[in-house]
Amino acid sequence: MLRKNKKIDIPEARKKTRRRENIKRMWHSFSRNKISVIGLVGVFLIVFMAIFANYVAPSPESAGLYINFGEANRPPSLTHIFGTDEMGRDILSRVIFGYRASLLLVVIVLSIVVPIGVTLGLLAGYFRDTYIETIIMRITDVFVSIPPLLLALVICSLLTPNLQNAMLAISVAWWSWYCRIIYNVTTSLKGETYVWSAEVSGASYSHILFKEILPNCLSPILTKASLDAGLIILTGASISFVGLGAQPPTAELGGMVSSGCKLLPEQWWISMAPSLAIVLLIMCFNFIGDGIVSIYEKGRG
Amino acid sequence: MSELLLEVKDLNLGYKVYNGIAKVLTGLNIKVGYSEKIGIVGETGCGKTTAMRSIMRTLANNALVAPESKIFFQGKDILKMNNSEVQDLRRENISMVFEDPTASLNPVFTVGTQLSDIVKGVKQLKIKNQGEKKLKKESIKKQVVKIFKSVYLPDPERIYQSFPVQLSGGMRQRVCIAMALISSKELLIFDEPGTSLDVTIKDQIFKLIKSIIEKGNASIILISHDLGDIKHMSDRVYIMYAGSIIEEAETRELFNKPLHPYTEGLLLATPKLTGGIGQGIFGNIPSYLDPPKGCRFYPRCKDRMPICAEKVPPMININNSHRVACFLFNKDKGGVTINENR
Amino acid sequence: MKTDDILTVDSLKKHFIIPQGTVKAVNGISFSVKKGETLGIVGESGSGKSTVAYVLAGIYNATEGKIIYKGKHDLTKSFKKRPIELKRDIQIVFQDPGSSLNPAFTVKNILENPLKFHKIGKDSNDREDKIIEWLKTVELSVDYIYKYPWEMGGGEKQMVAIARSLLLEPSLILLDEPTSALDVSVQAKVINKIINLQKELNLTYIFITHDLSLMRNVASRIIIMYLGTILEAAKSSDFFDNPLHPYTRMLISSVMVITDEEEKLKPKDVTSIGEIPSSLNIPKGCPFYERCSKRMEICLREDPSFVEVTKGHIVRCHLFRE
Repeated sequence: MLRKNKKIDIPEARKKTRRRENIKRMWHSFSRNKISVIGLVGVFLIVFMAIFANYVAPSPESAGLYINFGEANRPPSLTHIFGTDEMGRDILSRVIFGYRASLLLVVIVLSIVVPIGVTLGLLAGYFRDTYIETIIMRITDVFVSIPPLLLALVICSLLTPNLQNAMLAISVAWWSWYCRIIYNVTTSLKGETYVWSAEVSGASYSHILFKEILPNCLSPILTKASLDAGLIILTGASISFVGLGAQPPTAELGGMVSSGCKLLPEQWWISMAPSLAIVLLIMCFNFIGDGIVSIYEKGRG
Repeated sequence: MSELLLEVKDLNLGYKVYNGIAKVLTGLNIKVGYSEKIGIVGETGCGKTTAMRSIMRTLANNALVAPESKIFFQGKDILKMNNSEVQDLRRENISMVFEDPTASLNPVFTVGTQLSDIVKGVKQLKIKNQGEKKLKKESIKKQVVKIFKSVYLPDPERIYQSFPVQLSGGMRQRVCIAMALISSKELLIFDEPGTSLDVTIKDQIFKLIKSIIEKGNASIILISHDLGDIKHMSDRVYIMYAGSIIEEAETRELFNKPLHPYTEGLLLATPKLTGGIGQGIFGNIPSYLDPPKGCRFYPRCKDRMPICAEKVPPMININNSHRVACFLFNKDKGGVTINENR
Repeated sequence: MKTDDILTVDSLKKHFIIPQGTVKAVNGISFSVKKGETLGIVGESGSGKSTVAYVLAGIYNATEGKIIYKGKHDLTKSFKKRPIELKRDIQIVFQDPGSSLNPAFTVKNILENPLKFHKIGKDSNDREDKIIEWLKTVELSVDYIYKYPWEMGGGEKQMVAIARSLLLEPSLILLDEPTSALDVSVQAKVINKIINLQKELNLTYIFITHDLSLMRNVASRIIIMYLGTILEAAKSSDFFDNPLHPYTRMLISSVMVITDEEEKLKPKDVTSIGEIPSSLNIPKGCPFYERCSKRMEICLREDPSFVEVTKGHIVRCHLFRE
């Protein structure tokens, strides 16, 4: 697409090939690790299943209030691949719906935590040696020193136990790490000559923070986010395990493990299936994390 | 064939990247005799560091070396050595000093510790070969201090206990030279050793290098893009462009009578203390992924001819030691072709 | 202050306080720059030359001293406190092209941002026109617009940095070792372009480098700095034909030259010894005492003052005491 009022043709089309080249390059680094590709495929499959859970799950009604004592406590078989639980619900279906809750948890928590943590980190790092830095970083120090699971549990115990409050609690426990990391990166990038150039050219603070410094912080943010996905899921599952998160009959992986514990070791499949599901999801995210690290790692040659 | 200390023969090397193979080095031929000072001039991206890495066998994983390439050190082919032979080579025979001394020294260990480790490593070899007794810590320290003195570091005992960050740039470079000297006395490779140094310090370091070579009969390869450095330090010069040698000659001859248009351009472009700076050479180095068919300098050459775009110019003998890869000096113009295939 | 001086610096000091003490990077320098000329500042690492540029650009505030620009503005404050017209009028080109361009930006972004900050250009098309014009001026073709810094060579990046400094149409440009990171053939192109632009656009330059051969070809007047003070100042030709200060002579004698005529120009009575001391402990008396082959007892006790040996050629050395 060329502009008509120009004497010189600007290769606007070039912009599109730029993006394609960039993506090609990133894919090349990412796919160097076969494991990362496996992780990516795994996450895609799980996301697909979670979105279309109503169609993919063999028995969607199992995800909610459903009682069929006739089918209760059946071990894994051809009709129920993961067996049934004490209410007669198909565990495979519950796991698929459980994935929905876990993925939602990750998405919402990261959507809250990353913008807030990164913004605070940028402000604290750029306005070093001012009261802005002092206030932000001292608060951050407090939060960073409390183990996130513990803090989330405490907050959950003060609020009504449900999925939304679990998300809130985990967000409160998690933002400080992003703030810390971005603070460190910003303090070092602040002295880069391109930031000085922008300052001398007359850039406003918001331009410097969000347009000059932030794009160069993407690498640690993405890496941490992809590794955090697994941890957030685990934290969410732990909160549900102790009964403080999503309440029954909502299908949530941690809660399923918890209710299945009472029936061990005879009805082992009731807690084994959701546990394996948790492990699988976390592993896939971690594999992706390795791939993201290699995209940003300085190449050779 | 041990008249030459080092001979790089027909080195062809490429790097595998995501969109093809970058054919970097094409038929590189370099000879280094005993007690000789060789200069290699080349600008950024010409492949000189890659060539040195091939000698030191520290190439990246995606480097592809052609099978007919050979690098002979005292008659033995370095490219065919196994890992332990390469280790021995690095311990006893060849050493490299890099451009940035700060990056070459580990910041969390004292300089003395780092050099002691090298001494221990080098002596391991001797112990293996001759069954000497294990060295005591004191005697290692004494050796390190002795080497510091030989590179004119003031107050060597204090330097032994210092961390790299406590030393100035000039001192760090001297430490790196000391490191190179412990483990090799035959061939020292200096990769742009003066770039990060002040002019007066660079002068001192170069005088130091000269005195070391004279004392110990070592040979050196000095890589630089600064023609002044090369003129002062080398007996013979190779000019590299886009992965191949385009001119070689004895230093005096090269600076008095440069032949290749690139060499001429470089000499003109160097600013003169008496006034005068040339126009530079327009254009850029070619892409290694899709290099020009003929002479790689063709797109930038002011004296180019049609044949230059079609065929790669062979190395033409002008006289005993002066050779140039350029069709301007073809047979009919008084030169003698010695090597048709590249 | 003469009327054709664009900049007058008086007793400028810049000190940095660090845990180990005070780094006196710039320790009392005074000079002036005429409109349209190129003032060269020569020095080695630790001399304070880059710090002078950063103070003038506003990246640092001055600790002490006066800086008068165009007869009315005071440059001792940092750029945040400067009026907006002043921010346009003084620009800086940094040494390392690799880090002076934001790796996340294309050339278009890099060049458009300053225009946006100063509201130059009516809309984005207008700005794009200007960008293309400036790219043409620095001899880069239009398809550089969408390139990223890592896709360009050092020379091209530096040309973009120069274009960036020009498009705000400043009067004074500070060039801090603009070609030190470049190969010789590229350096020649960039320097020639810089020199031509000065005549075309009526610019004043302050050119900082440690490369004396380069300085010879660029500067009309040269000052030489050591440990934060000026040791000698002269017209370019006087500086090289008749260097007075022992440090100047040591510096010129250390240059590695490639022709015999240049070799003849180098002083033969001095050789490089020693290293520049740390700016944390600036010795009393003449800062060059430790390395000076011609030092005398008075040099240790007293800091020399400036002496005008010939017209326009001043030196700070007890050897030239009146």
